[in-house]
Amino acid sequence: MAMRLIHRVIDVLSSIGLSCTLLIFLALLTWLGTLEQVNTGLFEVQKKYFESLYVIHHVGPVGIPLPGAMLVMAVLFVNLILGGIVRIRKGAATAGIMVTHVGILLLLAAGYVKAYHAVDGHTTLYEGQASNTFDSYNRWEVAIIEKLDGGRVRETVAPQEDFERHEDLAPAQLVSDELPFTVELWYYAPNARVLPKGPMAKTNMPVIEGFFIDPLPIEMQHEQNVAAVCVAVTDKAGGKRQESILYGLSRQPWSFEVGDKTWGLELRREQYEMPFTVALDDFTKEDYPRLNMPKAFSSDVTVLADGSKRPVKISMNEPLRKDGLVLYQASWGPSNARPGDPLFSTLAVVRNPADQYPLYACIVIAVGLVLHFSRKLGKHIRSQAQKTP
Amino acid sequence: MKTAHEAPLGRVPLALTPSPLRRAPRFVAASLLAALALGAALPGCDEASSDTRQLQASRVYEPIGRRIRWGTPAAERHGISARDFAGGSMGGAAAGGAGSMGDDAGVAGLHWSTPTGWKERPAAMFRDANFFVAGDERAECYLTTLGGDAGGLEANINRWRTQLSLPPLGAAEIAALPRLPWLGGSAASVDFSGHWQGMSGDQAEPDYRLVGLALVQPDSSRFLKMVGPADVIGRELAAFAGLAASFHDGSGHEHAATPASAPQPMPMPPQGLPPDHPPIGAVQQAGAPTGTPGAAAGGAAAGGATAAAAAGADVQGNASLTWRTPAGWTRGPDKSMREVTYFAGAGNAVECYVTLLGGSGGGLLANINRWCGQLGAPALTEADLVPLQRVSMAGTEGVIVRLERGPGATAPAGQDLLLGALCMLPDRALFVKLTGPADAVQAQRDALVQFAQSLQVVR
Repeated sequence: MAMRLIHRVIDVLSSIGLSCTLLIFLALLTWLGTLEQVNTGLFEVQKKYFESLYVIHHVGPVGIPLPGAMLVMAVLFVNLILGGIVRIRKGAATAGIMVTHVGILLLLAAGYVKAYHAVDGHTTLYEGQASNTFDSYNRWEVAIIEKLDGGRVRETVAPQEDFERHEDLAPAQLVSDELPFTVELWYYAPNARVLPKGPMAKTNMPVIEGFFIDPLPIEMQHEQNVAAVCVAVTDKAGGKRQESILYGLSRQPWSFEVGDKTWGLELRREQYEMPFTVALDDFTKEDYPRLNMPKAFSSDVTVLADGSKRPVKISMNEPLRKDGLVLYQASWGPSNARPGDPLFSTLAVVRNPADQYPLYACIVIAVGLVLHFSRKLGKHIRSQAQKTP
Repeated sequence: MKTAHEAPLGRVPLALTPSPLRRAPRFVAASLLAALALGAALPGCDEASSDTRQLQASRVYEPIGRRIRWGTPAAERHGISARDFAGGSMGGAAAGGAGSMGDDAGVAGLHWSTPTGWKERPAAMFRDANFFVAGDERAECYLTTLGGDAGGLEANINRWRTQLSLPPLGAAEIAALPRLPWLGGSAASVDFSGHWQGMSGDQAEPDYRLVGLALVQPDSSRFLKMVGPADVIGRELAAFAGLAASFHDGSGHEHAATPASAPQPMPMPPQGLPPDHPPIGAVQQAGAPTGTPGAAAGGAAAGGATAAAAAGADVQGNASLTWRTPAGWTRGPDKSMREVTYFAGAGNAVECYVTLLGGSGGGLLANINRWCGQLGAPALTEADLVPLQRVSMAGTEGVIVRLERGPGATAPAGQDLLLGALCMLPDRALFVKLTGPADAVQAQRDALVQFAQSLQVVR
């Protein structure tokens, strides 16, 4: 009975019928996601349709449950292994097809690695500036900073998941044995502005230090959202409580004293450390003649690592690859800069262990298809030759 | 013939798939059930079991490229003027009072008193203090702080002059600029008038005036600039001087400032030139024949009139252009964004107007295709531009384009045909647009070409 059930399951999972169904679902999700993108933006659509196990697609008031692209691709992965490699008849006739299946599996694996093990962000520099970190486009974090001697800091970070659900009065409590205080975060707003509370300003939000959080609708361009959150620290020893508002656009942390030490708290884009420092020496922008439209732009940077310096030019199609990171020339600004104004250069930074997998997968698929169709062609030529009197 | 998928799995005799389509509904149902089951389970798995989160381990490092300023007040952290904070009213910004600024470059914050009637704007990139002068949005005043010497005094003064279409001053003339004590240094004071072309050279505003202070120092430089229509600026010179004098670092200052308690203005005479100001006009006239304050006193319109007079009695013009009016054309009323408007044909059914934009105006093809959009005509490509008729206009080569009304037109009814003449100048874009009933417009084609050929830009 059990064996029969196992066989039945394998039968279903390895069938070409399931392959067709899954590919139809993928096409449907791509189509629906593309339509939805008009209203909700790329980031939200990616999360809802493509990085999910299930999705409820609304047609008017009716919600239609569908498998998410992540589930579809996971099942497709199993289907390809069982049907395309294990179940397939082994022989010269199917060698090309098997190789092609391996290539598709590699593509799916690349997608998995990108989804779960890659990070991307940017570092933005004016000439003369340097950085050893890059910032996420979409994710936020709260950093607790302790002032140390010699310009150094000790930093403890809470990821967005720790506080993003606390959009009301129930606070998220952050604790650590390393800290002499606890941190409470509440009224998280994914997109907001911080306004001073004047006599004419009406709000139901807490007013702290004369300011309050004014939540705004979520922007379709997700990276344009600026988060804000209320914060309180309570001294573990004396129980003294201090409150403030953290705002994503603040340039400096909120400073407070606990014990005899100075601490800072800030809400910022999730920050990743690079194993090297990039210093922007020169940014070059070339415009089309008589137009303000840039023709090309590039950054001459110095890469500092392990006490050595290396000059590198990063241009639009010439990224810098180092230590598993890829730095692309992404953009520049400010867009309203006047002639002679200093410009900044934005370098997109990607850490994707599978960034070359699609290339390898395409090569494997191409080899598989060449094998398969070469054999078919040879067979066809031979059959035609036999027919020729 | 079996497909590769239909081969048996090892020795396990599996049923083959006779028709994928026939079995598809079962897989759809299975997938949906799996998705729903997972979906029902997921929220429970992902929900935090507690509101208390254990923080990750700390790390010690030296932030590179960032300078943390401990103790930054909330107002500065949130990028909001201290008046909004201390005064307890957002409306205070427009009513005059004390303000403050700070920046993340480690420069000490500044405080100031906004002149009465001026409207304070949010700080912006390169604008640490930012105002509409006398509430007139054409006139701006702002304070800029840059690191180091910001390229030097000469480069910055001449950048301002370029914005006013004035020739650059030489080193000796820059050195001769009057100096005023400002923010603990000796700032160069300037007062220029000319034809405003904006920061990027994409504007064309005659009769503008720029008054500024430039304090260039090796470690940090500050610039206070007021620019706008000459009449507005002329009325606000005392306010500008008062604003300049009010900037201070906040030491010993209480934020209860009112216009009555604001610092006394700098001793600048009503005409804006300090008592010891050299005759800039003389300097400019010696070095450059155009764009002098003398010329500006009469306005750029005077220059246009002069150019027109030189070109002949039948030549008309304004501050920017001269042209010859074709026979039978009647000049219409002036409108914004138009250099001149004409009507022609029976019942003045044909309208023709000239537009001069700064920069490229978006480019030749983009503008033609904008017209195509208005007329509902198919968009052109770069290749379509090649066979267009060429015409000499404004000292360069222009093109004549003919567009017929098509479906989806947004242009008013009656605009069945568009004839346009366009040319790209080094710093501007010139457009002549002739629209109306098809036959009437076609009858004006030669007149349009002659009109386009007669156009000259006043330099």
